[in-house]
Amino acid sequence: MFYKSKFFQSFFLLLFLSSLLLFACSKQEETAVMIPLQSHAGEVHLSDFKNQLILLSFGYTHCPDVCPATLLHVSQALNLLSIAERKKVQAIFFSVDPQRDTPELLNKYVQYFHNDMIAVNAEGLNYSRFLKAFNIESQQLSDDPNYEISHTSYLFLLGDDAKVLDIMGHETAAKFIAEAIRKHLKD
Amino acid sequence: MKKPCFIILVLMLSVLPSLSVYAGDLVIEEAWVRMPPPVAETAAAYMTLTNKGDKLIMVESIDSEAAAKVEFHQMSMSNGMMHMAEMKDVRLDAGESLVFKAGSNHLMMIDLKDTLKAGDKVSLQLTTKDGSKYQIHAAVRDMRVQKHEHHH
Repeated sequence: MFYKSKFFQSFFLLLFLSSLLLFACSKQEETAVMIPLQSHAGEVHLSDFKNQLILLSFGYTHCPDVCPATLLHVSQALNLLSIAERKKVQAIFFSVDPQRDTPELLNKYVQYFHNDMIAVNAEGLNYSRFLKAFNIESQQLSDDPNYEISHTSYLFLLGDDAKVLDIMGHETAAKFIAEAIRKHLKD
Repeated sequence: MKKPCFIILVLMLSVLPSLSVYAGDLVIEEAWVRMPPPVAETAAAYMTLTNKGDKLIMVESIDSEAAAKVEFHQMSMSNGMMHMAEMKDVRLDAGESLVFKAGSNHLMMIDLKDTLKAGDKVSLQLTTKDGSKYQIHAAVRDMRVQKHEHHH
């Protein structure tokens, strides 16, 4: 009898915890724009970029091939835009490696590609909430100091309230990224 | 053969390795390194390996004075997620080519010792299981510099 009540206790506790988790998860997506992110200039949120499209990419500075290639495409796409168009877009690089990529390091990294780009990271719960909001998976591959991270490498074009307007593969050429931006600037 | 001619011949031969990396059945071409952003501690290197011989070639190791470690990496995508794995077995059957190129399989230079600038030459040494050594000279390229498009 004792065991039985213990069982029910744990069962209800589990039920309570999972409903809490569910509630928290549904809440997460609504507040993606409010998640505090760290840039070299201080805390930023996606909601700070009012009346601008956001071109969001994910990566890390220890990634030698795909991440620099993607940021190169993004910077070339920005250069294809007119100055007026460029003012209406903010390119943001989110680091999937907050352990090694400090905001200062990240800033130097993206400045190499384009002066208009900003880079951010987030830690702990904010990190996982942000990745979850965009359905990004990341996985550290070893405990080696030179570890690598497998991660989803999509480029997101976001509108108001971080609404996803377009999702592009990391290999998308600059002119197609620029076209996607122009299409949504008109809308 | 007269001595001056012999000296010239020796000089010419000594220049050869920098022009071509042929030193056995393995031919290594189109080697280059992506110029890493200033804070990056890694860089990607690219090249094409071709087995011009008639026997299997197994790569034992590759290293460079420019980095603590160099690895062959296999890139794969699944559901938009990018996976990198070290290729433990780099092997080429007779006549086979392995291409390591941008956005695909590549070489990862880990823990760079110095800043790599555009135009720098990076030396890499590849050793095969049979003990042959190949010297590779890869130029560092700044990919931000737009190449002119040629229309043929």
